[in-house]
Amino acid sequence: MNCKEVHKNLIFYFENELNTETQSKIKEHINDCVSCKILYEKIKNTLGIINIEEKNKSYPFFFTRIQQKIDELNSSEIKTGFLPSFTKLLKPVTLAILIAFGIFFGINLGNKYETNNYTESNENLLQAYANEYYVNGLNEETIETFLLND
Amino acid sequence: MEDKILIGKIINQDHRAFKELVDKYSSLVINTCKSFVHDPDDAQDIAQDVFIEIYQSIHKFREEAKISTWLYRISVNKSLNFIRKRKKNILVKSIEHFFLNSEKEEIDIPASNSQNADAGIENEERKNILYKSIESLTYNQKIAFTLNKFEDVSYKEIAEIMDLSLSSVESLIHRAKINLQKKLINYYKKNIY
Repeated sequence: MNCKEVHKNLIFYFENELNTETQSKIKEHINDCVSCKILYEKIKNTLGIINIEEKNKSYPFFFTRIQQKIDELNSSEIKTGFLPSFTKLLKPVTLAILIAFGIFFGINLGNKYETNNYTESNENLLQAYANEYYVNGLNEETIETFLLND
Repeated sequence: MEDKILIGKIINQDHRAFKELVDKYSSLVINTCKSFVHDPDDAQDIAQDVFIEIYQSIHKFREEAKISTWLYRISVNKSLNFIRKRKKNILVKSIEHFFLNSEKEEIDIPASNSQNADAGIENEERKNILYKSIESLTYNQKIAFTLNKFEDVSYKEIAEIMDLSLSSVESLIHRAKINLQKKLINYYKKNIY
């Protein structure tokens, strides 16, 4: 067995998951090859960490801390009452109202200043406005009259 | 007290029954969380959240299921969420550090192949490389491998926890071992030769 084949099976060799023939071939190779032996030792020690991980059995005051957290959660629910669900609902409702108001306002504004749909009273109103502010060209003094007067 | 009776009592707001459940399963939950986050204090904090979730949603528990399977599932989910948040925080901190503190700081890195390094440092180095290698496995490989190797959970129970078939779990753990082996060999080849 060569080094490459050994490297492919080191973890399974360590866990004794290979058939007896392969196990013994790898064992033989590791005994003869220094670099594979070092590599195997390194991997064995690293995977060995899993087995020496500290497993605690007792955790003092663990339940007390959970109870405290549950009490805090309950009291905050009582304090806020229906507020969390109300605030959740409030945001989309306010947004919908604002959008509806915007659309309504926009339509009304558009109707008010629509230019293609004059009524007779609108025409009169415009004429009066034009006369008042000399917008009408006919009522303006011509250049000839202006010169003759002088 | 049997688990089914215990759960029935907890549903009826029996605090003593809840305490009994916590006492019975606290080491299972804390050790599972610790297997993923590798920090005893963080593991206890996550385990507290696991039991609070159990308390709040005990009425949803299906009687035919095993309580330990449910506990494992919540512990794994909460631990992985915690790791995700921790990674995000580290990233944000490193970005902050990059922009706020442009001066290069010297960091002391212990020599990885020093023969004089004591056993404590060597063990820490081994832990680091092992945890990093496990962390780099795919999501499902990490869960299956960690539960089986650190918590001695059987393949059958892992299949129930992860909602997978037994053969899928076997294949996941096999692939996890191959990937882990590759990463460890690459690391040690660089550091030995």
